[in-house]
Amino acid sequence: MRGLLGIALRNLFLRREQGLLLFAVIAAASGVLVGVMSLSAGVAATQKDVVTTFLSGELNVGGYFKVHPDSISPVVGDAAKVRAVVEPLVPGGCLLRERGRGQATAGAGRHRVRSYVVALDVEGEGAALRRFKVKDGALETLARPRTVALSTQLAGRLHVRVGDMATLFTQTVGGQRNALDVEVVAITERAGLLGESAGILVSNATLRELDGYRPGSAGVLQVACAGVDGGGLDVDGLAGQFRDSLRQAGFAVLPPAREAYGDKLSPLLREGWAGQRVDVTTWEDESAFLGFISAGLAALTVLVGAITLAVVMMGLFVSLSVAVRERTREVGTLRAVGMHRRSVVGMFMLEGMLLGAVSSGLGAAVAAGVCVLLRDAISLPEALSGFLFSDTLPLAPGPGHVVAAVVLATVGATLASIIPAARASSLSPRSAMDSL
Amino acid sequence: MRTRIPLPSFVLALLLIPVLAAAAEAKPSADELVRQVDKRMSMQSDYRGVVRIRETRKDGIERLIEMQVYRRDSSQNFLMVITQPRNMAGGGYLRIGKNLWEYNAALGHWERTTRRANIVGTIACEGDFDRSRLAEDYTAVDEGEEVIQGTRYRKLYLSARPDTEVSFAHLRLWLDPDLNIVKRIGYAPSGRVLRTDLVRSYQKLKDPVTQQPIIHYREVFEQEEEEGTQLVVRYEDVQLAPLSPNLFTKSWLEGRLR
Repeated sequence: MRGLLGIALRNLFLRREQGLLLFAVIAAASGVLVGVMSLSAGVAATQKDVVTTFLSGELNVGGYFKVHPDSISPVVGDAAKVRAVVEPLVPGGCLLRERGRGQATAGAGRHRVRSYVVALDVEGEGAALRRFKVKDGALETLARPRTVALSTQLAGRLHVRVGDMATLFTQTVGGQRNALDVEVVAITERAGLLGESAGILVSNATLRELDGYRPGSAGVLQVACAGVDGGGLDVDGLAGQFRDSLRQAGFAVLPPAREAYGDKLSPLLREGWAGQRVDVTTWEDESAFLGFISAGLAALTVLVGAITLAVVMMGLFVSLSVAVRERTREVGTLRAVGMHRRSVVGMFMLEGMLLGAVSSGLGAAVAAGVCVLLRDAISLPEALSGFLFSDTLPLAPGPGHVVAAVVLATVGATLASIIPAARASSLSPRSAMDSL
Repeated sequence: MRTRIPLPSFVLALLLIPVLAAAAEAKPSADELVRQVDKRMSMQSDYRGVVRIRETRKDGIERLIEMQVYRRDSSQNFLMVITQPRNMAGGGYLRIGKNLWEYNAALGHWERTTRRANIVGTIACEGDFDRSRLAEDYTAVDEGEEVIQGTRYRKLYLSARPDTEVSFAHLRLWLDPDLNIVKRIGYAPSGRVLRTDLVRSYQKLKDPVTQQPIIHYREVFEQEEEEGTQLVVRYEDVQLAPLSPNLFTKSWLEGRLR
């Protein structure tokens, strides 16, 4: 085996020009693959961060209230009772925060823009409030009644600045339409698509006044845990426990569904019931409408992986096929001095495998290093930043990405060398004489 | 024959000159001026009139809007009925007490709105057609005088009082010597200019209740600073006479369409 390895290495060095070209191609393809995987992971992390900051906790206990079957509001009328049931089930290290939900049209002058409303418990949120990136003003000021924080996109469309007044128009729980003048106290940084779709932040008290909710009501109780990954929480398991406990406490609980609360409003409105229903969702449910972005990036990763594999296999196949033809004398001589067919196959496969492993390893490692250097350093155009949830290129390279790229390239190289190796092994010792 | 002025009278006259001059120069305070502006434009009688608006957008698109305005200033009721364009006809705005409602005739919907919101999709606000209540809503600061083409105009800077619902957080007014507003600029709380109005002409009316003369806008030119939209607002067919007590109700406006 050591002898074969020596011969393979020597052949690689002997055919330096071809080897270097293949080395560069495989390294580049592996590097691109690592880059795409880093981007995919970075977007996923940023997306979860933004979703759990704006829309959702790791787990949410929300609800829908229908005064009559033809109206619906995303609110839990008696939040204290729901809190009493779920609070003992909240894992250590997590907190149960109260948020409000709704939809409103914000207006200033002749400009109008519709968006989802996120209501905050300004005093109770604590450190979570700092996860919102504020461009101007201060979110703490939302504690004052009749104030609003708008996303950069919404503030731009309404042509307002901090200190200006805007008007929020909405439909109340009873189906009437209400309006409230609010002072703009903060403008948040862009948060991807959520800046556009959930760009109105108010306090819970302001939302209650706007939507006509009674004191003690809440849009949703969210289980918020430290860290982006939620501390390895089994959210689906915990959601099941929450549902069972709420049912035992006498609440009508909606079945689990992979949909955000806003997407459930229309289907539920068509249902004939009235009263309160409680709904337990995970952060993945609430971000289901963003699934097309992760699906798109996953498809891109698969595509780049396939292209990498094809490049590696085609390159090595062509290169080794030419090598077999050029090295007929050498192979015939080796066979004449007693080398087995299996050893010839092994020699060529080892050559391909070595080239694949070393070049992809180096390319992937360099790409990972470049990704680390470029992380949050490249500004994105506005259209792209919306989909990637960040103003800068969100790259999150990891050792797993390097390993995956190396394994893929090495396996591809090994597979590509099978046929040329088999051809080489089929050469007879006489072929060395024939080639003279 | 020359008459001689007695010396004591001459000295007295000399002493009185600065006093009289100071008295002549003593101008009313800014808040007092604003109160006088309100008084000159306020009426005890009910009000009805037709407002015709010609809106010209920056891209050249023109829109004509016609509304009937009904006011009862004694109870602060206000009703506006859109008559043109046809697709919006029958809709309007109704204020009962402090609640302002917008009625969409096409949908039959009532929507609560605020005095800050623009009306009929234009740059005009409900406050443009309501009674003048500058003294109630604003505190004024005198910014001195400005002479334009030989005429002295008094400049006032008004800031909204806390908890008042006004279209503009700050206003700058130019008053002519007769205390008519000739120009006003509306500002956002951040200081951004929102709208500039030029009052082109006034009409003189007589309040049938108090028999006092009052003045009322006849034509106002409004320009939005941001997008350059221009509005010419004409106040026509103004009548000061008692209105039906059932007028300021939702059902009256809904009933017009039926």
